[in-house]
Amino acid sequence: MRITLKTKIWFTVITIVLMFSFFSLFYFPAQQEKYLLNNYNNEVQNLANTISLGVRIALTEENFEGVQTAMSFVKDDPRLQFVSLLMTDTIWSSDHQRFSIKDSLLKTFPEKTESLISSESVIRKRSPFTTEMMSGAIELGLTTDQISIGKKEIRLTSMLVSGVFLVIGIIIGFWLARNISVPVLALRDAANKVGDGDLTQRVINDSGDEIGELATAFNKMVVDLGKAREELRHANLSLASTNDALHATVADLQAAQEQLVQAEKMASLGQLTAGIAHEINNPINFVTANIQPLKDDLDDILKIIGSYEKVVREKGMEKEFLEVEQFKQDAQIDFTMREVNDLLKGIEDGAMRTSEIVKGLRNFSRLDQNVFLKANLNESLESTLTLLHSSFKNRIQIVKDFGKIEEVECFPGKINQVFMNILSNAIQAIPGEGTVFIRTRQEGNLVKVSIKDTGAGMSEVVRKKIFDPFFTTKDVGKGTGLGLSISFGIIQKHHGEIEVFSNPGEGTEFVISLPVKQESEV
Amino acid sequence: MITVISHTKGAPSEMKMAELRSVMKGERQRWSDGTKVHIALMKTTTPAGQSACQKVYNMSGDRVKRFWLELSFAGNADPPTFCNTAAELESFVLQNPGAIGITDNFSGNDGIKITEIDGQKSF
Repeated sequence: MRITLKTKIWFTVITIVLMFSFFSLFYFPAQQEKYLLNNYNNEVQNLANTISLGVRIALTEENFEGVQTAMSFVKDDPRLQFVSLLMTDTIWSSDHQRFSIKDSLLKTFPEKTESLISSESVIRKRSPFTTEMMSGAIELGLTTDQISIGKKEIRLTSMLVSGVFLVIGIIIGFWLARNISVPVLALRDAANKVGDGDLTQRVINDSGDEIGELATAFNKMVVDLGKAREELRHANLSLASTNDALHATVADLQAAQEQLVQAEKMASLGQLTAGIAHEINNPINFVTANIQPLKDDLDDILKIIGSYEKVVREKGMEKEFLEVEQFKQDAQIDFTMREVNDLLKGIEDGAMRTSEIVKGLRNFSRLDQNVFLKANLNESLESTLTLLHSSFKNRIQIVKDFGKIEEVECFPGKINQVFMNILSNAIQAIPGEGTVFIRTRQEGNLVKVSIKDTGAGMSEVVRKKIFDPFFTTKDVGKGTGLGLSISFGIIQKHHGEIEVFSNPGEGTEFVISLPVKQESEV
Repeated sequence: MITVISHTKGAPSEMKMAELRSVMKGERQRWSDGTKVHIALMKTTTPAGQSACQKVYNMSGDRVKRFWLELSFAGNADPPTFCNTAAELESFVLQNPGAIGITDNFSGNDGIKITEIDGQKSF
């Protein structure tokens, strides 16, 4: 069973009040009556002793009037029932073996009182005396009426005191309940609310006692708790911020790792392409270098054949050369000559194309360089387009608007990588036929490259994430989500900027700004 | 030797011992002229008092006092006046008509007479 604090207080107060009432109603009156009776007995005894002393003195002085005077000492006392002068004689038996004490009444007041009779309403005291003349005693009897009155007064007083104490006890009970129970309950309610998370709770108690101190301590605790919670919240925020930074750092590290891997791959690819370009370049040089002499030689041969035909016609020697003429007709010499020219033209075009590809490969293969080199971005774009030619040649028109720009200090291989990424994305963003606009301009000490496609465009949500590592809108396996992230990092390394403008259905434009000169090498 | 003295009024000039004892024990409380008897004795601690107790009361001094205590508290008689000196006793007798006392040193005061007992002034 749960007993509340208020019940305990009331129980304590009521117990104390009842105990005090018991003592004040029973114990204290009994004690008082006992003391009263003792005092009264002592008073009566003292009076008897006083009279006895007076009588003894008077008898010694042989002053019988003095004896009367001594006995009259209490004559006017309203409590007096009797005062007697007794003479005590020792009565011996006839054989003097036994004796008895006999009291003879000499004088009593009032005259008709039977002095020796005692009752509960009379206190009787005896005070013996001895003189040379006689042995005797004074017996004094006083009424106990005053004791009864005193007892009644004591009981009445006790009842009044008990009643007053009961009232005071109730008042104290109320006071204690109000000053202890109520503040404690308020403290409990506030503590419960604080426990539920409400730290605005305060307990008002200006009593200055322990409960007041408890309320002050509680309020301080709540304030400290609020501060601690606020500090914890800040710490959590800081931790979250640190966590975010950590995530960003991890992402940066992953990106850097990917960059390194990509760079390594590109370096390997560069070395490979450089090797291939070098190996192809020599034979293709033979081809391109020999085409024109071959043409010239073929022209010479054709001229010689023409000269022969002219001589035959002029000399009328067709009959002798009939067999040769028959062979020419069988060989369709005219068609063959046109075909040879066409074949040579095709070889020449193929050689030139191959030479451009090789040039592009060589240009692209400069990835392993780690110092800034001056590069013409127009050429870089051309090289990249050459490499990508097969992916767009039949469906996408490339509109080049190359301005007159300065060479830019850069890592050409990495810039090529950026152009490769953006142009690849532009080509892939156009599902069917479309156009890619490439524009270069010099603006002050900046060279700006704009690559704009007529593709599907992108939403703002996507646009905000395209530079995030591993973000891709391509199908699984078709994109790593690292291309633009790496491109962003490369442009930043060049102290440049890369901007993107896009709306759904309106295509996408990337604008790359690169300083002509780098202030310091990265 | 002790002498019985008395006020000029009341007591006779001569008495028998038996009469004296009757008066001294309170048995006779008025004189023949109606005057109330007032008894004066020397204290029982004095030679005169002791002598009076022996010769008149034939009792010890304490016995005489007890006798008078009982008698007086019984209301049968007024107790004697016990005096410390003969002069005091003479003065009491002189001032109280009907007074009678016993002394061993009477000064011969004119206002006091000697009551002879059995014809003797002193005994």
